[in-house]
Amino acid sequence: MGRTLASVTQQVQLEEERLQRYRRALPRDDQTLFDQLFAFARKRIAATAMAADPLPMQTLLLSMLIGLFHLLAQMHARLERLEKAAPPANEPRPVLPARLDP
Amino acid sequence: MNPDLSCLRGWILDLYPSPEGMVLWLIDETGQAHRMAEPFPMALYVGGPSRALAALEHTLAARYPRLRLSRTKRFDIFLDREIEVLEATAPNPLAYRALVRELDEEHPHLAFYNVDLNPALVYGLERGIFPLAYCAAQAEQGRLRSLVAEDSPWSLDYSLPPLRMLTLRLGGDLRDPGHGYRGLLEIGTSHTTYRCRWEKPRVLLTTLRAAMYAIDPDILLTAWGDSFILPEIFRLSEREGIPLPWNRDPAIPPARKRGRSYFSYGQIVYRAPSISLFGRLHIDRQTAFLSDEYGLDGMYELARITGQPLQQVARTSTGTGISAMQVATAYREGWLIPYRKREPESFKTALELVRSDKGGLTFQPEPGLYEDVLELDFASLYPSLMVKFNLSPETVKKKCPRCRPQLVPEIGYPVCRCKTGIVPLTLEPVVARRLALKRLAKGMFDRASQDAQDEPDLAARPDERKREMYRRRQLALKWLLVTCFGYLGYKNARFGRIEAHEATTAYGREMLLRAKEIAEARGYTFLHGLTDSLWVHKRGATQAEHQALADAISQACGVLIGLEGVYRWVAFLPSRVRAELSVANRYFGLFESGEMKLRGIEVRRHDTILWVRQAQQAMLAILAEARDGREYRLRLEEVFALARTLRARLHSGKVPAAQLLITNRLSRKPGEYRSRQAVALAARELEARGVALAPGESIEYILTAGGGARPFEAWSAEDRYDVARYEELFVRMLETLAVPAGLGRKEILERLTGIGQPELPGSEGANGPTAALVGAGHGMPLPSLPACDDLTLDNPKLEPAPQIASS
Repeated sequence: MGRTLASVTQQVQLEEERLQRYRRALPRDDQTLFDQLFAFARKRIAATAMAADPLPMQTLLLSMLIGLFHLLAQMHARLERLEKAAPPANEPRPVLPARLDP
Repeated sequence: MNPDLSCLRGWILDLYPSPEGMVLWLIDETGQAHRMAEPFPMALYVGGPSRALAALEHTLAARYPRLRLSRTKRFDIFLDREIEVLEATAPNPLAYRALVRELDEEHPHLAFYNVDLNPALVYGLERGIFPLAYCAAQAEQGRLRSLVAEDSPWSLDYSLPPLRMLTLRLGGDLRDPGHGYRGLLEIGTSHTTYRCRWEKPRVLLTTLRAAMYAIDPDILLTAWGDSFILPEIFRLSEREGIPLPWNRDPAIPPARKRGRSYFSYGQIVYRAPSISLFGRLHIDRQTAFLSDEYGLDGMYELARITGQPLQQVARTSTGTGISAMQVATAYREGWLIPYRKREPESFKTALELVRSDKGGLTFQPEPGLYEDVLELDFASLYPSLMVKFNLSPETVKKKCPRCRPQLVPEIGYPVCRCKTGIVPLTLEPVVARRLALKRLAKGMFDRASQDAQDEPDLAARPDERKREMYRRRQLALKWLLVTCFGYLGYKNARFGRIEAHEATTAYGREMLLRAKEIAEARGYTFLHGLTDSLWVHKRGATQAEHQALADAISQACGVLIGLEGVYRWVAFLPSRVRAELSVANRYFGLFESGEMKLRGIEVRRHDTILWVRQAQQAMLAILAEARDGREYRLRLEEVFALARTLRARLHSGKVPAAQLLITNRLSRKPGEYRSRQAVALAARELEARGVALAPGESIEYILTAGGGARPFEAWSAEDRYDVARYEELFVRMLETLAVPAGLGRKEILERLTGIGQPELPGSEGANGPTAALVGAGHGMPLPSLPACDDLTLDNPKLEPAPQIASS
């Protein structure tokens, strides 16, 4: 195990390294965001292992999306809290999927 | 039994082959040792084309008239059928070994079975006895006439012989004498210790000789006896012409094995030379496998369970123990025991390989400090799965014509259900026994803590000693079970097969996921999972609820999961390279019981220097007073106060060198190092002082000012240690404790040096990414926002998360 094939942790590492030229051409701010997206992927490494996709990048992209969605949900909840404390004046509420409502 | 013969009752101390057959040493109730011998023929089997077997039979019959030869049929578990074999029975174990060597050299194309068996193990199986078994024996002038065990290796409470011990060690701290350290020789008996100088060899030898005659020890317990003390005394004894009664058996001299370096799992390992005795046992606690972990209690347990004599148990890994048990199972069943396996890994498609070639499931917890967390652990998960699902080299991914196989989840391998495999057959009683011992120890624990309230003096609580004994016995079994999983995947192991190993980890992943799902369905938040453990949280959940969760998981998985405990607080630590990620197996926490669990942090690591380890221990003792996350942060103030005192001491140059020793293993010979790394510098200096060093050996050194390093043996009062490098080790240790509370390296350094002491970040609105993780008395874990909480597109000044200094 882990000798014949790269482990899932190594696979994430390999994908990230494969995209280093891409990252290099990104503006500096974007590079940080790029790193953050890979951090989202790394946090969901157990799920990536279970997916056992021969092309791991698509699972990694899904993990990144979930990471972003997670963040969005948290921001939404925070916004709700703030709005309850100080309701906005007659502004229409942003339309967000119902599932995001806490 | 024949009344004319003397009947003895006692315990089996030693078993070994000799020209007479097998020699057995029995310790009777009074502690007296008795030698008995009996003839013991041993058989081996050869498989191959019928004509080749006939030719071999003819050759052997002509060459060895005392060999008994016959054709028979035996069961081959890998072929799942009986095959025709040639049975060759040698008159005694020594002749058996000689025959094996010859056959192996002359007939490499034939298949050999039962050829590398341990005579002591086979003898035990044939006679129904085992090392340290209580037996009734009849003997006539040293010839064993009958032997009956009145004991079972599976009995939970067994009596042990009244063993007499003599200890040999060097005075002072335990230090490797191979690197030049010489202390007085301390000869310890149960009532006194003699200290002898090496410069007066005659006095030393006569003292030791007198002690050995007076005590007639059953066990010679040494520290560095294998590599230094015994060889040195042998040399002196020969030079001075003063013989010593090493063996009880006068016919044989002590057996010496040379040390060697070898590769194991990509790492070079040095195995020290060994010296075994006959009729009494030599155990070197420095070379004994895991002796610190389970001690003599564990070794006695292993000797009884694995059927290997105590001296072998003390010198081999638990892997050898589990192999011996599997051999015993096959022997009992009459199955052929393969010699060198000839079964290659079966072909897989690339997709199959991607699915199956992984280990246990490892989650990534959000780093930080959590409150009120429940940890659940599967008890001996992999061995239990092997037993429950019949996972064995000959049952997994093999076509069975007799049954409809069960399919392994995720990877879909078929597993035969109609015949119990050799691995489950061997493991089942071990798994059950470990559980029983754990329960006994726990029962004693509850009683012992009750006693502790009534009787604060430890010595006056016999239960405490007994509990520790049970604990060590179960720990020895734990190691046996742990290695059994490794051996299942090891291609050179006799009963190893990668597919069985893969099936085991696949079931393991399935069970961890089932556990997670059940916990989540019951309203728990899943925080972390690691192979066979999971960490969950549910606000306000009661102990009964926790137990109900464990019961539900056990039920659904068919393997037991237990409540490891509820943490008042637990810290999952960030990676030193990527602060936003955690390291799955680095965490520490405080259980409600007041016990701490520490994993992967400095105090637990063997490469941590003593001074840092002691400092962290003292700091953890302070943090152990914290009942929640808020108190943790308050106690951290005291930790920093202590840290400042310790740092001042480090800077004063007064920390004793013995506390600053770095232990490192040599990866090559001292002369082969090209770089100027510390270990190379120290090794070369040792070599220059005439110390012979082998790759894989460990040496100890101190980092010296100016980037150098000196071995401890060469350290003098004028030498100065490197304050900066030791301070860095100290700060890293401190980070482990402070980072979970939301402090970054910069703040930690400021607090340590006393420059500017900002308030600890609050739980709300703090800048540090981990700050919000501090429970701050909310009574819930706050697996707060990810590192980029404040990430907004109009905030161009996004700072990368503060990192713990990477190496």
